[in-house]
Amino acid sequence: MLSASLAGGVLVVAGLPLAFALTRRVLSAMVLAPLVSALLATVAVVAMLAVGGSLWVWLAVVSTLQAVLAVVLLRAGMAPVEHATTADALWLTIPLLPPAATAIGPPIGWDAHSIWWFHAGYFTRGGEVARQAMSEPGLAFSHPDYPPLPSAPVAVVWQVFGAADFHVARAVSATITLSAIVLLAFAVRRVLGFAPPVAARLAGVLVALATWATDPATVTAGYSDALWAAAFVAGALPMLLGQPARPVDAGLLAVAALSKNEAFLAVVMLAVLLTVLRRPARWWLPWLPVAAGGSWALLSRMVGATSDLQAGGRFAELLTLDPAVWQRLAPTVRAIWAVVGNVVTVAVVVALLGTLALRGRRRRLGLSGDGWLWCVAAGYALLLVLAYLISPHDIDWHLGTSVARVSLPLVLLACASCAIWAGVALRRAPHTSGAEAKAEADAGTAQPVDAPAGR
Amino acid sequence: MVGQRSEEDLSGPDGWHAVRRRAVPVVARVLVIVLGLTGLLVAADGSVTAATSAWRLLSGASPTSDPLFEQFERLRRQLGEAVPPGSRIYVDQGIGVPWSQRIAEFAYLHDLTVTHDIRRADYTVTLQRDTAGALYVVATATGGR
Repeated sequence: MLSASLAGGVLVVAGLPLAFALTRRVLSAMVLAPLVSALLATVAVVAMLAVGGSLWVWLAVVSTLQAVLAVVLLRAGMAPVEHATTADALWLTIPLLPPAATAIGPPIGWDAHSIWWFHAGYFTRGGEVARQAMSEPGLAFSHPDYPPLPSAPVAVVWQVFGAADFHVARAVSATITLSAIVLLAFAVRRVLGFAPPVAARLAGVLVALATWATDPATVTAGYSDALWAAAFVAGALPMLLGQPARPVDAGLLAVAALSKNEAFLAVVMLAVLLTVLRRPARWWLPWLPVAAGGSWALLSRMVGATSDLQAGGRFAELLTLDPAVWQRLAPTVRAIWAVVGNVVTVAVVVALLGTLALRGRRRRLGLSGDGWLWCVAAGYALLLVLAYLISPHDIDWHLGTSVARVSLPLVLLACASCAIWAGVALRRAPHTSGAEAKAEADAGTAQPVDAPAGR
Repeated sequence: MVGQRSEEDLSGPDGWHAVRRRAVPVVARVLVIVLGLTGLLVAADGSVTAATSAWRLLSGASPTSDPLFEQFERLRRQLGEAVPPGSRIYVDQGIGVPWSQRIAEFAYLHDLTVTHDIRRADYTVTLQRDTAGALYVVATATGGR
């Protein structure tokens, strides 16, 4: 138990310099630090696989790079991040600790062992052994093509502690997952910066608690689904709502892209959507995580890792409308709907009602509509359905072992939509010109109760 | 003054328009807040389940160890004792896929490597059950080196 607690501390300390340089607030930096550590560990693992050598050597290189980058950023004179006071940090963290405490349970998650901690084990052995393991056909069951971020920090902590302990592995996995979940709460809090602070914090906490909605037992059990879902929604939310993207947002998307293959596809979809249709000022920012995830995909193929979908995926049968593939559609849609249906139905009603009655107010508060958010949700749902259609596995087994976990992003996006509309409804509309207010009143979208005194 | 104006507004068809203009957005706002909160609370249900499980673990009502995990640790230790470091092993699938996955996982924690080609392996590793039904590691040298 002591070594597991220390593992969380190691992750906080290791990523603190860069996290503080990015946030300029101690508590926010402590929340962000585990994910910074995970990203740095991932860079070390990728370099080790590409060039060779031991993990220790690349950890030293990456630590030096972190120090240099932190100094450069500290000299850049960035302002502290907004809506991240001590009160915010406490409000947004403490309510998440009770469900996260499941991390002290026994480390027996099957996928955690078969995939993420297995990869961590061969990463600790250095570049040569790791490449052998990734290309070994007998180990294809462990999905050696899966991205390294959930495994890399486990490997690093095992190296530092000098022993591979599965309680420590679970603590590391839980710490980086909790970090992403708290940052999701911060993202909602930041987007609702116009709302009363208590309401914005409550909204942030409730969206973050939704991470446990679909498969509570796996959130802190060493699986990567909650990690990437929370990081993805936290990073995407400001960009989807027309707010300026920050480096931390791109970092969160990189965490997602480097955590699972479907997450990488979701990040690619987001980048395309933002670039082609939305064209924000920093359109290139979401392409940095795409480059990170793409680099891994390329490296893993070069090393010889195989993907079950690539090797056994039934793409041709999909295109030729083979009934063997398309008869999987109905059970897949039913299974996804069974997981997300309740929350998505309520969220769609809220979004339609909000769009009809509050879109003017929302625009004046500086938020774009949430059509883009729902586009991403629909796109991800389509990706999921396609993955289950072409999967070489028995559909009942495949759905039964994964659909609850992989549907989580849909729930988080729906909850974010609910929280933001509720925040918009709570906030008094800011001042508008007389002509604009009259036009909205005539269109049935005026808000007389909130109208400025001169109206 | 304000009250007088309100009464005047309500007296004609325009007055009802005014009431509707004021009431509809208020009702919409309340509905959005109530339904939005409902959606969030429905989704938060799983966190209550998780918090309850965590409380059971912390209070000792549920064990923080597990017979399955103890089995994992026992097999991991036996593998390290049965096969010399640096060896290449072939994992016999006869023990069932889940357990062969565990043996492969533990091999990389013991300075071993796994091969799918039995001719290149130094040892074949399999699991057997003792009379009490507990699994134990059996490693057989193959002379592949």
